[in-house]
Amino acid sequence: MDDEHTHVAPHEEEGVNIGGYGAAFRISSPKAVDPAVLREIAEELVREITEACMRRGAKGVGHVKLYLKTAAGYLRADTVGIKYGIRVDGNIAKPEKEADLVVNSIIIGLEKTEVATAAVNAIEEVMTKHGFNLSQVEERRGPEVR
Amino acid sequence: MEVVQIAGFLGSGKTSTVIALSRQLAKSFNKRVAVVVNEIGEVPVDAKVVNEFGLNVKDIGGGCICCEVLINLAFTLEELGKNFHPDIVFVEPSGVAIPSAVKEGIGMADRGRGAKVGPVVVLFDAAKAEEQLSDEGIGHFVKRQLSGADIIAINKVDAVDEAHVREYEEKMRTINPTAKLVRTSALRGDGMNELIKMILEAPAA
Repeated sequence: MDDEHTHVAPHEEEGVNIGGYGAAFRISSPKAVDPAVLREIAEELVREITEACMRRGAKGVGHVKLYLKTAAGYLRADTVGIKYGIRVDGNIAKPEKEADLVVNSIIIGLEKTEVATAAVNAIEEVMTKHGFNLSQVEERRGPEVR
Repeated sequence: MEVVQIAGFLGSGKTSTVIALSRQLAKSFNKRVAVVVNEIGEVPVDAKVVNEFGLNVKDIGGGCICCEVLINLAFTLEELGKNFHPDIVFVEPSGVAIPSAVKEGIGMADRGRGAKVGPVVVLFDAAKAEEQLSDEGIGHFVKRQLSGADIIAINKVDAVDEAHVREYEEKMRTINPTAKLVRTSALRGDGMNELIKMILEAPAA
């Protein structure tokens, strides 16, 4: 039995439709990438995922969050909607070739399959553009409620 | 050990508030703090971020904290009590949890373990106030969350003007007349000492 389909979450009772997608990746680049560039990539990734979800008809953004962990530190980036800004904080002390990337998107008014497609496409596009190889290590979809 | 819930809708600033409160409690009030995070349906990010600040954090993801993972919460609180001896445990439920239901869950999970069930703090996002409350479904859901608060923290006050804050303070008083109100900016640290005092002075549930 699938608990996700038997449990009635409180927001379901209010008819609030929320789609979620979370995934963890291992990313690697043939050359070490400067921390300032990693910061720009983090911000770009959050923006691209958010805008892709809005283009697909999302009503609003619960949050889009990202955590980028390297041996020399971490970055966190998030937004609750582009018009509210994208926050990036944390610190990576030196250029790095490898990192763990966790991305989390909770979107209002969009099915989880749509959120997943928007997020995966944006992640692949941004990371490829910046010369990173990407391998997925974990994925979770949900919740989705109408 | 006092178990305090820091709740609020998606994106209201729960994790930033938990980090700011925890650091201030350790630095200025000499308190040992642990954090329990429940991120429903997600690959956890918040627990990783909280951990980066050197805080003792447990992630009990994988379901709704008030029912599906209640037993995990009970074990987690027991383990924290035995092994870490915190003065305060902050429980950060997902943004789609109902605080009053989580409070009942905390009470059940902690039954007989000697912990004090502390106040329910519900964050309200001042920057997204109109967007959230004007939507029929989300507005009703957010009001339901706020109605279960002992303390309402109007967060992100750094992003709005004084008149806006006053307007929503009045609305908060209508939604939950008995809750204490505090203005906060977790980003800048505004209101954190006031919120801490409210938490420490709150009567046991």
